[in-house]
Amino acid sequence: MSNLLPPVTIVDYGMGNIRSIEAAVRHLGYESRVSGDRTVISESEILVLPGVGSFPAAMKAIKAREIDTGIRDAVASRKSKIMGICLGMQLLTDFSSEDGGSPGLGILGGAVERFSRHVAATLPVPHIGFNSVVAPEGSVLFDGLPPETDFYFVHSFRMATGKSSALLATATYGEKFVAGFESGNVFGTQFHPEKSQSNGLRLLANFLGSELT
Amino acid sequence: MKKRLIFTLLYEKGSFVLSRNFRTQKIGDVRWLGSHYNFEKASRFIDELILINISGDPSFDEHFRETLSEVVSGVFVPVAAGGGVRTVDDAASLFKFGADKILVNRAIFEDPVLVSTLSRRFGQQAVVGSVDVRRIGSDFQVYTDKGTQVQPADRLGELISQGDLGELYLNSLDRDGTGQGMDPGIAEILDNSFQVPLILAGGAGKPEHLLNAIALPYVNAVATANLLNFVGDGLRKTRESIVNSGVELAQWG
Repeated sequence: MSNLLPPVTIVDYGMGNIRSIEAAVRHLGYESRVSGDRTVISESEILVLPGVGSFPAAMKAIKAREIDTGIRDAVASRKSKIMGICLGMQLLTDFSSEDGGSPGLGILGGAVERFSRHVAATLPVPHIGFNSVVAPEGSVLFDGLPPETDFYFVHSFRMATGKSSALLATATYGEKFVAGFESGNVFGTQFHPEKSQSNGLRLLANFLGSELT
Repeated sequence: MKKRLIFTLLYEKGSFVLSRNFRTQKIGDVRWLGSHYNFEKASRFIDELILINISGDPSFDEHFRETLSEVVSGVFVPVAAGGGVRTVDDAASLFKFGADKILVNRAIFEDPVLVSTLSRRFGQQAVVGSVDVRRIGSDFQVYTDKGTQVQPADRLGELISQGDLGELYLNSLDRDGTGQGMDPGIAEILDNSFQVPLILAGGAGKPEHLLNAIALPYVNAVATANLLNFVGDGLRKTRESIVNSGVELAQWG
């Protein structure tokens, strides 16, 4: 492994709390750069896709800047690794029904929907706060963390558990849902590692330092 | 839902301050906080951080945002910021400089349309209503402006039922800065009125004050702004005593 760590590109499409992710990446000893430029993104080896807000609005902003093409070039052609956080994780999937519905980047199969009605009948939605996440066996992201670890969530939409080619981490809020996934060079967390104290820093370090096979 | 231990940093005209019944005492700036209190280390024992700008003077807004940005660069928990949010742009710039939520105070009573707009734009979970409260027998009164302005408490309920406030930060007017213990009666009275998480603040002088308050069923979070008693070893000790008492907090290694 080279001593020179590649810079981490934090994808900026105008929606997301970029500052905390930047701070966490730097805290872990990596150089970070924030970019919404298609070429910079397509040539990056490590990408983080953040996001807070509405799924269709985010896709619209991403397409307007041709960031979708940049991400696909990097992830599919260059085999760069990417981690989506919160809405960023959702954007990596095929589809979300939020605000009338919108296709996603389609990098990982799966769809995102609002928490089920029976959840909303008994629990407040959005789901906010620290909740415990069950790690899948053999996970790169959760390496060195206990089988159940607390992470910080803020979301109303979630990816339902089901058949997936990816390794799925799960959490329960009235129902079980996907708290994180990993498949080759594609990673995602519904929770915010950059807001989850040392648990989140460990997980981010695992992502940044992971070797691709 | 797990409960939360919160630290509040009060900012006034370039410096962090201690507040005692709304009389403030200058403590130091962000560098001072780092060198004297090793704040980043102390922050490993909290679930959330709140920064409130009590300058009451827009010319300090920019410095407050810079301070926010510096503080959050070493603190990996959700951060709420507020004080002097008068426009959507004020709120947007706090988000831009690292806040995950914003606190609204006078706007609740003077500009509820702004609060609704903020909630629609940034999400209900990102808007925290922050007021000072005084218990009067089995009733309570709501105040702004450092306890000088009585406000209609009904307005809080209206905004909550419209889905415009995600939680309430209640600071005890009588206990503020006294270190004599928190006033659980406030949350008890309010609990019947509002269906959002309640953060209780004001009066914590030692770990057991926070422990006694957080153990109450209607209190979701406790906050202290008491730098002298809590930053340093105080937050670690408090967290330990809360966990040992059986109240569920998030755990990290």
